[in-house]
Amino acid sequence: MTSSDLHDLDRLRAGDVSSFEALFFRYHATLCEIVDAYVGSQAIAEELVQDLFHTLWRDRNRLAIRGSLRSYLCVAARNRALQHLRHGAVARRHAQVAATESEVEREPRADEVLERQETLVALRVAIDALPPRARLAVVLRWRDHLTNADVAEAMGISVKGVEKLLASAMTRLRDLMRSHKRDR
Amino acid sequence: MRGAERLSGMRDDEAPLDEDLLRRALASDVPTGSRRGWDTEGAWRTLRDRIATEAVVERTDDRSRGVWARRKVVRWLATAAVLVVAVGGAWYSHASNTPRYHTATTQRGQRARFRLDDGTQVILGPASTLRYDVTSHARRVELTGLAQFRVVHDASRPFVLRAGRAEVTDVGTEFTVRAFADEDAVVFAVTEGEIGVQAGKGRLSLTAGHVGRADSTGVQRLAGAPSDYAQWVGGQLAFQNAPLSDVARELSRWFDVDVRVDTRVAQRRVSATYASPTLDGVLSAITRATGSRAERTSAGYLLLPRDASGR
Repeated sequence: MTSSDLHDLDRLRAGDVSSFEALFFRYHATLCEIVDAYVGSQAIAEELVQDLFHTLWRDRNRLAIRGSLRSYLCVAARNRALQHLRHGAVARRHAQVAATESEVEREPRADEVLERQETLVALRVAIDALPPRARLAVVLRWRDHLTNADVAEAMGISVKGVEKLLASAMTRLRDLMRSHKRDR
Repeated sequence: MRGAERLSGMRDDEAPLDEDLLRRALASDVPTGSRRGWDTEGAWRTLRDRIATEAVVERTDDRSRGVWARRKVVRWLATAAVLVVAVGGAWYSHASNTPRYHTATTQRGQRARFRLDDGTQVILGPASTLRYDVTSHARRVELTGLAQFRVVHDASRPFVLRAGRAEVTDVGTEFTVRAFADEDAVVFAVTEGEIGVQAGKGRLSLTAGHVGRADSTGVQRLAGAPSDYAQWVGGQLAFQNAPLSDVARELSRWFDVDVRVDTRVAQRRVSATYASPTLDGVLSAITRATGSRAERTSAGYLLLPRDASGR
């Protein structure tokens, strides 16, 4: 646990909103990525993460966090995602968010963007097109600066599993970048 | 492009993609493919409003639960009848100066304890309403009823409270305000720091240990200790030379019953402090002290001269 986490956790227990805000901004995107990798909907991910933070605030006096705060939150996010899937509400809620997400899906596809020869954009599009769990590993590793061990903890898999996911993601990304290069 | 050059001629057996390139591609300013970014700012605003509408609520008339001892968190949606905290007004842009007030209301027989977004702690007495708008540049609060504030110091956004005809500015202190619509004056009791009170043309600075009142004639200092006006926070009920008509109103608010007073005894006065008040106990004590008696009515109680009949 980082020292700022410890500090914020103490102040959170005391009911300090600004430390809660700091925690929220530190972990919101990471937790959204985790939930999204399971439920496959950004809208539902945001909703479930909102509920998670709300519970964190409401039950701040009863928190029993043994390990790091980050792993506590990551596990909680994963649990909420799995619980959501188990509840079988997926189909119904997918239908609800389909309207908002269909527009996004019509955005330029990877091959269209590659023609623009924008390497970073092409790479980003390629990352976003990875299978959900491979993408999550890449995002946690290189956007959120987690170590392989932290990614393993966050995803509930072994470090070896993370290495495999990252390796296969790299192969795919490299292929895409090479074809991008060739098409120029 | 630098990243593209590094990748040129890359083969499968080469080192993984450059990490720096990956990091830059994942930065928030790079347009995404099939995904949009996470709206952390917007999500925080929504959550902040959600937690601001929650408070600890307790009955003032149920001693068995202990004062504040057993905290209860209540969502306003689920318990509209218990504590109503609502967000008033439509969403406004941050550029506009239109206040976006939250409203916290207690019913008779309730107190609520909560925090505003700036960390200011509020304890709201029974039958009271607090409207508040806390933004990054201003703190505006309006009170009807009884409340104690422990204001967090923030020089960049002064804390301004309106109560009845009075306006209070505060820069970090603890004070109690009593501003019921059915009482003539607004009373301020400062237990820490200093407040400025303005009413009409009158202006008064009150430091810790002092009590003031504001009414249509202006602002003036009152004798008495601020703690006399803050006892309700700890669950005590106190009267200082109060006419029975005032006592009856206070008991109605505190115990959520209708206590009325016959005009013949309305001006008899009481001074008393009850550490653990019960309605029966307080009625019995004040009737004995004022030579009156309490008669049960369909809605509550009527206080009468001891020798008179209720009819």
